[in-house]
Amino acid sequence: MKDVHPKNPENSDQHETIKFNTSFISPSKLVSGPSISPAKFPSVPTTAVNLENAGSINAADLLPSQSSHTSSTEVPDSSHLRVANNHSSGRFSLASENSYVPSIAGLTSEDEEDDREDNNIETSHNEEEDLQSILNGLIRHENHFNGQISHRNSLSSPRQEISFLDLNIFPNSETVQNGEEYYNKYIRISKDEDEAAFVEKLKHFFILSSAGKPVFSMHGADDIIMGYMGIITTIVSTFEENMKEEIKSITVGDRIKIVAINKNPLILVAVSQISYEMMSFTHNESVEEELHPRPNSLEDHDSDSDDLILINQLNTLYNYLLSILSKPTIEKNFHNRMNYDLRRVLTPLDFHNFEALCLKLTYGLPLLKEGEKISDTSSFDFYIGELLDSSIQSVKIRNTTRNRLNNIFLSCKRIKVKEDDLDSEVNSDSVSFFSKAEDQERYLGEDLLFSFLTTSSNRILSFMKPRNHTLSNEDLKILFSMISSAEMQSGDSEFTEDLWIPLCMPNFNPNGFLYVFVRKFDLSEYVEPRPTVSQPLSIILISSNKNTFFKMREISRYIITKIVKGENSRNNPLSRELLESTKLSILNDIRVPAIKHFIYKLKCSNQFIMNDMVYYNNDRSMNTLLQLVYFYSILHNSKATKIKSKLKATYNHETGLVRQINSSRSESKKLTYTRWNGAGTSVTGFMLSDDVYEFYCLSNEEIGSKDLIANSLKIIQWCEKYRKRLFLGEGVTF
Amino acid sequence: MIEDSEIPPPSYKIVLLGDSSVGKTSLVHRFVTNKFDRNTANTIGAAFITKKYSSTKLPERSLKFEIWDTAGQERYRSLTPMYYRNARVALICFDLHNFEETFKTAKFWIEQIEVNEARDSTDPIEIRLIGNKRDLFLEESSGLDEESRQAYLEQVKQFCSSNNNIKFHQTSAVDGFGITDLFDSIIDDLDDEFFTAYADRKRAELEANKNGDQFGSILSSRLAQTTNASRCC
Repeated sequence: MKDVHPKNPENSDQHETIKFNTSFISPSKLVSGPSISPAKFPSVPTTAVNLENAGSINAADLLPSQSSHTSSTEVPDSSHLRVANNHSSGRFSLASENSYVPSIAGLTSEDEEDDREDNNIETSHNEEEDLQSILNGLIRHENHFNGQISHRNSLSSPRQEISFLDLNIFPNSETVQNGEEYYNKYIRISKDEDEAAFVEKLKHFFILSSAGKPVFSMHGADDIIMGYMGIITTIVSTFEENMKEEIKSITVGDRIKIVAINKNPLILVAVSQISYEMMSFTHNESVEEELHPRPNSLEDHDSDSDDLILINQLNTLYNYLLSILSKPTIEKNFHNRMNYDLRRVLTPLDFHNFEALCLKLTYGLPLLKEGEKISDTSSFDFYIGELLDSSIQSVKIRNTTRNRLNNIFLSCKRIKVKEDDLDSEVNSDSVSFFSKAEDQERYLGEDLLFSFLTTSSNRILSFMKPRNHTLSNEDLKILFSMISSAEMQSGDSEFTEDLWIPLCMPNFNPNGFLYVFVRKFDLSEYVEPRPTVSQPLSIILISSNKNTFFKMREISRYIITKIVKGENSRNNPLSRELLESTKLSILNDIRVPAIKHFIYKLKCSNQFIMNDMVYYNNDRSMNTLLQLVYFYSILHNSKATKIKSKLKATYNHETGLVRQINSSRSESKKLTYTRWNGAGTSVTGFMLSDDVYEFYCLSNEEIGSKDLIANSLKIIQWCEKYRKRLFLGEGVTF
Repeated sequence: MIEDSEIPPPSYKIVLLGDSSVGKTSLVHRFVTNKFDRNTANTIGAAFITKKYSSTKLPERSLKFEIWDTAGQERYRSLTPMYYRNARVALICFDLHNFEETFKTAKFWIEQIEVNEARDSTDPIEIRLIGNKRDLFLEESSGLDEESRQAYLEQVKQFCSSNNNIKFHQTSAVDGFGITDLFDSIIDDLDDEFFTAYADRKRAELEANKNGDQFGSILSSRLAQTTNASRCC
């Protein structure tokens, strides 16, 4: 593979391949499209795509692969590995030991079924030994390859602060002095008119109408993007009209991937040069019983798995558009006029939200103003949730407290009021609102569909839903993003406002709106002695009727009264537990000093917990954030090594070696072990999963396989022991 | 006996309408918190804010303002009738500094309200026209000369006088100009009768409640039922 930088378009004679992935429009079956070479897209956008050179070989086809469809995802990291190696000969050519060379091993063991519910120690002892022997085998193997580098490492200078640039996460790391410069040049959102700077950006998103009118572009002024809009519509319509196929993706070597989804009358396009986004990975086995099943974005998923990461990102952007406009509105606007400009109905806030989504989806970074520092981890939380297949993050509170909150929600549905009072919205005079008349009573919350109590960081403490309806995690994500963006303005705690937001929940019903009532309150105001930190909570009430604002407001007042009742005593449970839950740390709760960060995901409810990223590097900087995003993406996506019946360890190195170990035991257990060496230090990543959970952890200290396994199992056991506290469960149903 | 101080101030509903980005949210924030934030985001849907306020000139008069701050964006227009239903005052806002376009939208809203009034005129809405961003309007760099400023203001004046003498206020959320005046005048323009009638009614209600026949006990017993029912879990 050759190292081609986008700024060197004259290298077009290099042997790079463009691969088109398309599908017949009907029936929607995937075929592999023509491969095209050479390529200059997108550096020189005016180049016509030559369809005659079909038949050249795609590099990916040469990689060892384990036959047939299901295992076509083997060797998931080869592109990533090669990218990393390229850079070690670029930036680090003088001191190759400085470059991080990731080595990845994935294996699946198959044990007899063990009952997770009774957590007996014997089982875990056996488990521990088994895992250890597997891991030892892997590490020995790895040392055989890395021995030289590791040895030299130990002689080099003491441990230093690692920059994300040292990891070769992104291309062109060698062209800049420091992380900030890199961010400004390749990552930061810029609407400049400078086209040279525009094409340097690692990631692009475009939303345009089928007629080619731009709706949104992550980077670049209108003058620049207009040309690209033309190219995109030409390519899409050429495939559509001449070949009766729908274009899905274009791969340029393993350097650039372009993915398009056609949501007539809109087209959404992502262009990425980021290695971890181009990894192919299989979606988790479908046996997972998700509480909130994913929408149909996964149709054709085995053939699409290469593009899945970018397709999911595009669907998230599309869902945002649906949520503010709804499907019929979009269709109606374009039906009247094909060249309709959708931007007319979008506000500056919508564009701000699009930009924030682009950064969160790609890098886990927040949208920062000039000179602003990262102040919270919400963008990182969002990224990890996306990575773990739209999982949502939980807050640790006691199960009895959670039940109490759930029951408060349930009792809301039972409040009756006199019909007259409902019609005359004389809400503020609650004296007359709760009238004594018994005749013609109606339920105050009859239009109330979903209720949530959340922390300020949008983690759900408790929720209520109707028996036969549910909100998917994708819809929740949209809901919370929208509420956060609406709240930006009211940083002032002394004044409260109630929000009333019409919102379309794309997976719930893309054709209509629900009405979202939001009331924030500070729990600490009701507690004696008053805690030093404020405890902002939000009550979110979703109604099906746009005229029910005052009813929802009355319900929210009732909920607050019920929550704070008893809160002024010292043994108030909720307030104290909220204070503790923010400190969820493996370092505090159990002794696992070498593990600096972990994620535990409960598969059945698709919820996860993780500790604060501050424990990883003692900061919440962009540098740490980008590293965690990278490590977890590699760890997660490399679990694609999906092995069926026998215990097998695949070990990918630059040589692409695959090794197998046989075992007599069988289960769906999998583990991945990854180590990044270099810059005088190393980072170890470890993933363990079975039918119940997925566990990921990182250590940036020297850690032996024995400790790694023992500590990981300790955390897993802890998570299982406190499962009811850690996870939200299924809420209450009415 | 019930003291006057025990009587909560009467609530008074106000709705802000007008084109996107004319400064409705900033105006409300200036009134409620006396602060201005340059980065105020677009309102999504609407926000409902309450504020107890006493007139500067007549401090014995106070109201609990219930303010609907609505989104100016076109796509939310279908919701707006819900916000101005039952409102006592509609503050129709436009941007003095972006006159032509935003004044046109202001006129649109005034028509809308009048059409609605004709259908259901139990409680008429008082319309006030608000020209916001006075600070930018008066700035040298605004590109306006004194003559064109006067021409705009004359246009507003004529419109107001030909529409039942709508009151016109110039405001600036940035420096606070005209904002307390606006809310003071809403209170001061009310008849004495509004306050005395309210106080009498309220006093009677509170008396009745003291005699045991009160909503409080009903409410609390009702809530007790619901909590008891859920305690079995």
